[in-house]
Amino acid sequence: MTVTTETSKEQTHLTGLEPDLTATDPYRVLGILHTASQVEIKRAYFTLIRQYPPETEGEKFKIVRLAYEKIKSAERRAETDIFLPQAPPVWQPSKNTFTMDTAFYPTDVLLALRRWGDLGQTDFQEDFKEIVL
Amino acid sequence: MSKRSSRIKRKEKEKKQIARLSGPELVKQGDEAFKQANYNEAIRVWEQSRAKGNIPPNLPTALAEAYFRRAVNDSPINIVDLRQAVKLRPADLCYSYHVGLAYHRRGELDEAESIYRQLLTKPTPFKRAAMPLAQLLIEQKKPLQKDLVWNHLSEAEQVELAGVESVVKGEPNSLRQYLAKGSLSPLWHGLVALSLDDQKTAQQSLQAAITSNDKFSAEACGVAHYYLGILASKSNQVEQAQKYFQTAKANGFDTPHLKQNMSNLAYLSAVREKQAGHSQRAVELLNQVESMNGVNEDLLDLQEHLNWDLGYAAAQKNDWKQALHYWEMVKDNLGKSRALTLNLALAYQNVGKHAESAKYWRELLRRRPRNASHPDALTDEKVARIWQNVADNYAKSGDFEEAIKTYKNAIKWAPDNLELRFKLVDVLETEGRWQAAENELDRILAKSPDNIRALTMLGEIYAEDSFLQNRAQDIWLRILKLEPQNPIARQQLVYSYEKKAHLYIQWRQYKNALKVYEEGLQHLPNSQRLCAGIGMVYADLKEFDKTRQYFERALAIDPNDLQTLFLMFVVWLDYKSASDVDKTFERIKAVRETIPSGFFIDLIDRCIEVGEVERAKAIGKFIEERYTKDEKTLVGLAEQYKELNQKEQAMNLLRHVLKNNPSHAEANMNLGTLYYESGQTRLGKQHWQNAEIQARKDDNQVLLYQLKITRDALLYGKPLAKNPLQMLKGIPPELMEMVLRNAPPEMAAMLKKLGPEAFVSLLEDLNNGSFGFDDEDD
Repeated sequence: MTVTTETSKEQTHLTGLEPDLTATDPYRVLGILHTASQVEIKRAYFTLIRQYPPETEGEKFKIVRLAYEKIKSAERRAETDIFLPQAPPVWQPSKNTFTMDTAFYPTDVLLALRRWGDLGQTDFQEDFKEIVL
Repeated sequence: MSKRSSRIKRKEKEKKQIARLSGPELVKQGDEAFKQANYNEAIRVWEQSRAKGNIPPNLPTALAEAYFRRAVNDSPINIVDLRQAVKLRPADLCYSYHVGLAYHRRGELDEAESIYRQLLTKPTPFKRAAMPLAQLLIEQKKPLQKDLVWNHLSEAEQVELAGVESVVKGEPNSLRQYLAKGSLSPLWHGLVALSLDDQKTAQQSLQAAITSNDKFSAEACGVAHYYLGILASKSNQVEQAQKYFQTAKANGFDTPHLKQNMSNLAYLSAVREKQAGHSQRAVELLNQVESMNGVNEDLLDLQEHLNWDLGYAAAQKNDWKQALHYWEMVKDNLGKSRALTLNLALAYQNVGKHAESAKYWRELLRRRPRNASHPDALTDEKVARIWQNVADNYAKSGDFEEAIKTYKNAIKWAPDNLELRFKLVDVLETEGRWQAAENELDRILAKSPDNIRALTMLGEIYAEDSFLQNRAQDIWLRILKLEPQNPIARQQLVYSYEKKAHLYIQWRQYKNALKVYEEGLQHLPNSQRLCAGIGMVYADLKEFDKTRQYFERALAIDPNDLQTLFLMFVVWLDYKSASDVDKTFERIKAVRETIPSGFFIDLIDRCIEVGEVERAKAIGKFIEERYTKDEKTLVGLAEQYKELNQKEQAMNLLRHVLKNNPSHAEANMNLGTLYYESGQTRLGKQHWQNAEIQARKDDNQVLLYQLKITRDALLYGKPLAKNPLQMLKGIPPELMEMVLRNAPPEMAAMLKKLGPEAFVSLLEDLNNGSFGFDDEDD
């Protein structure tokens, strides 16, 4: 069996577009790419606050609002972007192929042979003799 | 006597006892040990008995058996004991056979072969030697069927061994025959099938081998498990393969190809787990590989990626401690990554390790691409922002010197960034470098002349110096011109006029003081403090009607202002205008807001100062009624009664507090002191003890210190400290520690650096006026 790792689909920037209200990254909260335009940011924000209106979803609204505040203008966004933790770079799978060694080794037969019969035994009580003094 | 020496003595005693025993007695003793399978003891005693004589003739046989049993019970089998058995019983070929087996297992095949052959050439051949000799010949790839040993093998053995020989030699034709015949035991049959790539038969036979398990040890089954694993992996049954490999390893099958295959499978599983988003599970699998096969580049690469990923996930959940844990595992190997350096800087910053954070931020700046066209190139603004962050971290770690240098560096990158300059001013002020702070504020104002924040900070610096009040006033007026209702400027302007007026009052230049206040009122006509101040100056001029007039004007602005009411009370008290004092006190009582009890205690203080004892008592009575459940106030009042020499009243009050709360530390301490001073020493000490117990429970170091100096003074006549410096020198380390703990972080950092002794020395310098800050202008 030859095991070859697939190329990772991860990107340097986030590709998932599901909003994650538990994240510290404001882009993830709003469910947008780090490369999103200001218009896209605004659109994502309005979509979310319709989903979480302050009257009924106060806490979630606050989270969304806070995230939006951090990136709502180019200046704020520049400041926020500097201090965002960085996702790992795209993972490049090894160029080596992980081939299973399925060969039959005659030396393994010798190993078994060594464990066969008296050679492989550890208990020799049958060879003990009775002693009467 | 030590345990060791007693043990040696006991053994020596036993030796002496044995030496006293006769031969037969020793033989008997050895026999008992032999029956209990204590072969060490049996051999020792029987060897001694041989020297004594009068021993049974078959003792060498028994001794040989004891050596043999001890040898085969040992792991690995003890060849020296076996040789001793052979020496004692050369006729017993079984012992020689075991010597041969031992050599064989040790890989000393020539010796083993020689012994096996000798055993087979005896007049009565020892036939058991045939099988291992045949195995040995196959191992050495020597022709088995032409060897003499062949004739000593049973027919079944011949079939099996010939099959094995064919596998080892790789003879396809013979193998096919064996496979067709089906005459081999399952293990060999399976291995023959494998060598012919008959996977189905191999699988069935090996499966039968591991279940039947006859004639084979567990280790031999390890081979079967390994190849079952290989067959499973060929049909993509990864988990099944892993299980077989693990069993093979557990059964002692430990070959490089097993390790390699286990690593490969674990790596593959880790990759799959990672791709399924289970990074944690993937890391666990990789750790397994690492423990089996050590680290290799591919493994390390994936491991680092996973740790980074896990750290990133933790950071997204705001769990920076966990993020730091993962990223620290990567940092040694991915030391050159800027992104990771940024993550580490953030993580250290968020867990409060600011010095480390500053180090990583600096590193990030050092590694930034200098070519502007580089995708990761930083703009000057961003460089300045990061330098600012470095400086912030230095400041938070208490390294203000480095923070100042770094803010200046940041300013070089963004000279128009006023926020950055304000940060620098803040730190300069924290370090007491007023001149440098002033200069920096001047630079801000040169760039932004109407910057209220800069003007305010500059005004505050001037306001600190009594002789710079004119400059401070100019600043406050400038701010009020820009922002007429600016609360800070309004308040500071009032303080500024007050300070100037107070200087004149000190010099008894009351007219000048009035001028200052009047000038202030022109700018701030609704300032209650300035009105009250004018009233006070008129009192100094004995123009009490005008005093009343201005006090009324002040109260008209806010009748509940306690500061004005206090000032009025004190002025009328000083000038002994009883009716005005009474009226003022009535106004105080009419204040709508809750008045802190300390306000009334302060009034009592002032009454005591001017000898108005009866008035002080009356206020005391009022406090007792209004704050009847406020223990702290009542204890404070008791202290005032003590000052007024109203000891009985003080004691009653303290007893009242202790009735409701018997463990009240301050009440106990004060009552103890009062009892002691009145000659009731036993009661006094009892209350002190109660106070001390509670103070220790509360970790109230201040009270413990107070208690100590009170006791020292009363019990041992030790004089109280004459001045604060003497007191400071006497502060116990626990109290100093508490002060440091509760001080603001910057001050605590400074004090900790100094240490208590240096701190007292610093205060002495200040006291002597020999201490000064070196201002600089850079």
